[in-house]
Amino acid sequence: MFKGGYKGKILFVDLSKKEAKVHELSEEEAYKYIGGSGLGALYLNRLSGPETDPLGSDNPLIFMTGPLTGTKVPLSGRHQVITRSPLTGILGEADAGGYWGAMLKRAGFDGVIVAGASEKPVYLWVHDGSVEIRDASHIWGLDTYEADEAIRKETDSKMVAACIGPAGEKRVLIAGIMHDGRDARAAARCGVGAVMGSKSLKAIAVYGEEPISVADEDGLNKSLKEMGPIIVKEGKGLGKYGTAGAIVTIEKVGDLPVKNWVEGKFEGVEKISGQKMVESILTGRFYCASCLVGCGRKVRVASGRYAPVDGAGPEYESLAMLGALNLVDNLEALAKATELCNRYGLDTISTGAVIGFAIEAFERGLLTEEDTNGVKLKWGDPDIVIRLVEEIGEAKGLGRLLGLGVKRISEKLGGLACELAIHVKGLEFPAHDPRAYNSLGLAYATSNRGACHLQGFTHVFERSLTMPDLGFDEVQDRFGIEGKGELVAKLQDLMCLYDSLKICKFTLFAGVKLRHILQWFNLVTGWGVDLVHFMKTGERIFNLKRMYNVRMGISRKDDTLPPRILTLKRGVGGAADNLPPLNYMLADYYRYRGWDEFGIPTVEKLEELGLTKEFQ
Amino acid sequence: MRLLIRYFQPYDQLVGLKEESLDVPDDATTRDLLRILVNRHPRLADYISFDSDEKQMRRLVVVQRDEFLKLEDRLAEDEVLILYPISGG
Repeated sequence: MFKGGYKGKILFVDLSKKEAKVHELSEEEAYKYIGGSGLGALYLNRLSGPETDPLGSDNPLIFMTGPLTGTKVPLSGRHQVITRSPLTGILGEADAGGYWGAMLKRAGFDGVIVAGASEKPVYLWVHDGSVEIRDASHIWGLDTYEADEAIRKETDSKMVAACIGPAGEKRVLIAGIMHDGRDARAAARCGVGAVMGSKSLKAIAVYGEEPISVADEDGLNKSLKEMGPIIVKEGKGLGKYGTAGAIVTIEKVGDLPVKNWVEGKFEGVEKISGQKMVESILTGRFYCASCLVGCGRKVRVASGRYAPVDGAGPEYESLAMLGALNLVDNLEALAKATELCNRYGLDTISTGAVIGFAIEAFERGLLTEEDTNGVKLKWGDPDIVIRLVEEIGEAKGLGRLLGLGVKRISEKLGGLACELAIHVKGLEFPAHDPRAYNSLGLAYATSNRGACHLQGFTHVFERSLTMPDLGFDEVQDRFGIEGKGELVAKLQDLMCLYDSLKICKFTLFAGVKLRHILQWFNLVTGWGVDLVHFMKTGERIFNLKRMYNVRMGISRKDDTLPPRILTLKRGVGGAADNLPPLNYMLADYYRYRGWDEFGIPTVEKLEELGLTKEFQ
Repeated sequence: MRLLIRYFQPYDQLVGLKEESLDVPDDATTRDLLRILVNRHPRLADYISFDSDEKQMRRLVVVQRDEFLKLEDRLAEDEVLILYPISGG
């Protein structure tokens, strides 16, 4: 019996059979895998395998909250989406903020597992402990903002929807799942939207009013009374300027992707900064459930070439990938491109990446005007970016090719095209350059979903943060080599915990220490977990995901970086001549992890982590 | 020694300068420089918090020769960048 943090119920919907069941959540499994990413990976491993077609009815699409989701714990309004990725073929996961996760728990469930596929478009209406499978034929084809409004009229004004746009419907492999309508909180990565589209599932709308219990309410209140003001104070800058507040800094230290990862400086960076957004198009801030920071942007462009724009504004990643990567420095145009991605339901990171790839491929003659319908692709042209976003979102013209992601595009084009494709395991790089932080190179190479800065979040410990609880008393040397294996492994384990508890990693910037996270976890669940046990749980979750990928054929050969990142010195900027020493760091990492030379967890490691049963 | 201090968003607006030259003692550390800057530009005080627990600066970062400086690092006679801390994204 759960004392707090969990509803104890998972909703299982089989769209092929048009039936729904409620499964009891095992307390033993919750204790071992926590929730979110951890429990989601456990279920994925049991429900799918190498024979599973990512876009077939046999691929489960799993939405999971964590024990902190929906509680008063600050910045805990998050949930995870897990599936076998159609983009990468391995474990795919994406997480989102907003209100959907908290509302799902108030509706009575810790998670929703969608199996099978419907013959015609449907949406799920989950409310007050029950679910209806409803016809969605009339909203199929609507963008995510329109669909959200339409579903709201048919359900409850306070409902929150997870929704795909036309890109997901058309199974574009870089499609995500959007939440919260115009506020556009995205579970963007790994093509999770295409999986939802393959099931003809337009949306999952949720609403409920059930309380979410906390084991020690008084204890939690006491802790939050102390920490609340600190979070508000320390998170003030992030709230004021958003994630893009640091884009100038990121450019100055050589971390910004410029011209498809070729250049080290971007002159136009101050024109697309968070500070510039405050002075121009910002209309307000968005706070996810339980958030005290409010880094989400609300913007409006009321007139001019790129009007209208009205809703969620671009985050750092969107500005960097749609903007700097393509040498575009027009903020209004980037707000437009971002809104289009949100409406189509596209991952702005991968979308920016495939556009940059296409422009360079065109420049080098790998794509021609025959491929582009007579359009000359060139750097620094905001209209080209917007046009290509539309083509990708609608899966038409060149967009049909670009929607496959850079790995597949480069395989189709052949020749030198693979040299321009910046990805790991098929997932496009996010907007941080491993040549600026050595740990990022190792983290990208070994992240379980492909290139990802969030599954290690290591670079922030090489510039300004420390973590004494894990033995990192000083800021780490970003160009150093020694100790990176341990740094990356420990932080990946820690981030597995954040992704399973479902708490925002930006708490790290707001004065929240690991000891606070652990304290809140224990106060919410009533479990008396110590730090050693806690970190072992993170390690278990990371290894579980790695073993799932091993089942899919992943090994050392895949733990690498693109040749451009390994060998091209950019020559200018804040990390002009650094290259990540991957092989040295990788050997160090495997040794620290207790994996064999092929990057596979040993039998002894699986036993130590209690994972043997899952991989017999 | 003489340092060229370069301010970036939003600190350039806060101090009303893009850059300035400053004379500091030859053995000056990052902490010394920050004290000097706060004396010259009191509005910076809100952005300079010293975390005694973890020796880190949260509301601005100081970069010299591509290195993120720690509070006790000795400065070199060169340009110093005053940057917004990387947060999020």
